[in-house]
Amino acid sequence: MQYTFALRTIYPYLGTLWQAALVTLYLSLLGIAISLVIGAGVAVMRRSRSMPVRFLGAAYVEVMRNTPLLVILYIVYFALPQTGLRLSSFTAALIGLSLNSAGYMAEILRAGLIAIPHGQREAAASQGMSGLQAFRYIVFPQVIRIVYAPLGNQFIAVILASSLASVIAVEDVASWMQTIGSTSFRFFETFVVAAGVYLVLCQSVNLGRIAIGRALFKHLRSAR
Amino acid sequence: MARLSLVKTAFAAAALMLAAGSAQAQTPSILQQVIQRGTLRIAVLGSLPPYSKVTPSGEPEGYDIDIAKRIAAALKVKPEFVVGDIPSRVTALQTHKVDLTIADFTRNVERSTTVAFTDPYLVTVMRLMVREDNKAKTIAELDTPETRIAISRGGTAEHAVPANLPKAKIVRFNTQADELNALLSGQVDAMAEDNFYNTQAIKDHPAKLKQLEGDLARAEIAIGLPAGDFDWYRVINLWVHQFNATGDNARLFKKWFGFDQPTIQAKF
Amino acid sequence: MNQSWVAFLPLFVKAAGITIWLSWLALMIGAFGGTLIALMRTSRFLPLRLVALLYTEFFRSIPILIVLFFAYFGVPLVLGIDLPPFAAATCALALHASSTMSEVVRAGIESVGKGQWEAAHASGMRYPAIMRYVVGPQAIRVILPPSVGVYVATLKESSLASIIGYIELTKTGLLVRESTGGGFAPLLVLAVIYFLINYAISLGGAALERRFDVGQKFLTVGAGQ
Repeated sequence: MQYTFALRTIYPYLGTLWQAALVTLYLSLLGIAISLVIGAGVAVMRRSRSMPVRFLGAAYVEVMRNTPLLVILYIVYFALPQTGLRLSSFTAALIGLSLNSAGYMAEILRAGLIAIPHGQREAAASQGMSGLQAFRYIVFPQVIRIVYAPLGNQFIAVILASSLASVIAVEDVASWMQTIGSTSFRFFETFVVAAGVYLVLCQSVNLGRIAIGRALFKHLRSAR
Repeated sequence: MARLSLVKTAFAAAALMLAAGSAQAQTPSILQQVIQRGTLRIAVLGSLPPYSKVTPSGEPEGYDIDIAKRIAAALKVKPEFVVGDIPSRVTALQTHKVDLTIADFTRNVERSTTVAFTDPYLVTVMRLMVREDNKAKTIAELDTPETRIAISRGGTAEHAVPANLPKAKIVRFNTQADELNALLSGQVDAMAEDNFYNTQAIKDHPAKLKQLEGDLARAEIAIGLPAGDFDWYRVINLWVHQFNATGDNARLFKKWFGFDQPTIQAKF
Repeated sequence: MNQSWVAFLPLFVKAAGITIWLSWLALMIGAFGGTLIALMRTSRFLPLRLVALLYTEFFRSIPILIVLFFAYFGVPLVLGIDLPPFAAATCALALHASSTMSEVVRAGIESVGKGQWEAAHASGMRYPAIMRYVVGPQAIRVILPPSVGVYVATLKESSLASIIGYIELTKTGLLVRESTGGGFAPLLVLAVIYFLINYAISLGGAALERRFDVGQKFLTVGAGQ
């Protein structure tokens, strides 16, 4: 069994790779943004005074964290249309990805909120700060520091998870890999290229996170 | 002098290793392997009834499956099925994961640069299947940018659909089951698939589906084999010839498809 | 053709068993590999640390789908070793789990204070003995609870094996969907079964966490795929 590795053989398909990479990028960025918003909502729900609201928030998190994304995508794309709701592949993938990731975002943000003792808000109020001011100057900076690293990990997780969208016909990088692999019969080369694209995307987030984190939390480190 | 002999020794050693390497590469022919192993490994599709489908208990059944069983019986070995999808039909042969591919496999020159094909055991056409309520009658009417057509990723529809419907949007899936579900649930407007498969799907989903007039492509369905093993090709191709000539093929076709097999020599 | 999905419930149960076994095997191999990587990561030798870092970063930057396809199609093509779907799925899941587990184990090792290392050294203990008798027993309390999270993640990721045609839980659900003429009941049943299994495991993990009182939720395990 001899196989000659020849990247040259897939040069003709690189044009479509650029398109596919953009789809992966859009899907991931939108997924991150939307799941962050939903996640924040759920995190607040979980800290609500009303028991049913808290339960709903907790139930959402548990369902999303304990069900495979692949199954969620299948349900959104194939099962929802039977109730009359028809979504394009991209929209269906975005919804599935966002709902799934929101479960994790909610837990990350909640951990950040829990970490701030209630006494701090009271102290801020006694200093004459408004609720908004207390959030802006006291709570927010501390929450950011706690959630910063796990959020970065979650961003990477969303990029990786977006690869499943190929199953419901989204033409992303994983789809490019499968389609070009089976038309050019150069599976090994397409794997290497696709893996490279994800590696670059994820490590950009990772290294960016480390660099921004250094700049952002410099004063904290020197104070210690 | 001593140094020279060292170089010589190194060369000799390298030559020996090369010889050993090529001896190792000279593996026994597939025919010998199959007989020795006692099993014939066949790649089949999981969701293309009545050609083949996998029951939820994991048992494959269908026209292609029966063909595989008969070849195994003729070679006096046991069949072993490897269920895959459209892209894996070629790779399974390339990587010698299987000895044969019997999976509604259309032969063409492009594919035959990587894998070998026998003579066809079936000649069919690729057609468009739509939902019953679709107003279009012919293929040409669907050539609009709004039309979404489901195809098998890496299948022959990759060429056939853009050639006939350049304006339509292609939506790629890994299995025919996903294509059919996308069509039934309204996620796509049509799917490009084998006429015989479509006929069965229309029967299985009464009053929900129909085919449009016109062909997308002619397809010669053949058994795929790993390239470069003439002995293996010789045996399997002979089997296909006799399968066609004795009428076994026609009988098996009738059993699974429910109607008479169109003569495969028709367009030769 | 159109039977009810209820008739297939025994198959779902059997398939759930396959899924649990597949992911357990992958987790065990991943835990073993992850421990080795973590030992390299915490070693005194820079090259070892570097290799371990590259390994971890590589596998956490590549979708499992790609690793899976590579194991199934790429490995036989390039190396000539034939991996059946089960082996390919186990390898891909184990590789991914090993990179996550290495971070978990590293956190466990690093949770043991430097002073204890120094004390152990001073009392004449060598590296294997320190790991075995001093660091290990303390680290395991930090390692076990998040490992449960890795198991849940691996179990969810094992659904990807359906894409290379391995008949585990998800593939069974899809096959039942075909046999019952489409419809979304089989998909919902799938979701419910996965949820029940994973939720039960998560509850076990939470109990473990309370028992060890580590106080830190396993947030390191990101969105499952």
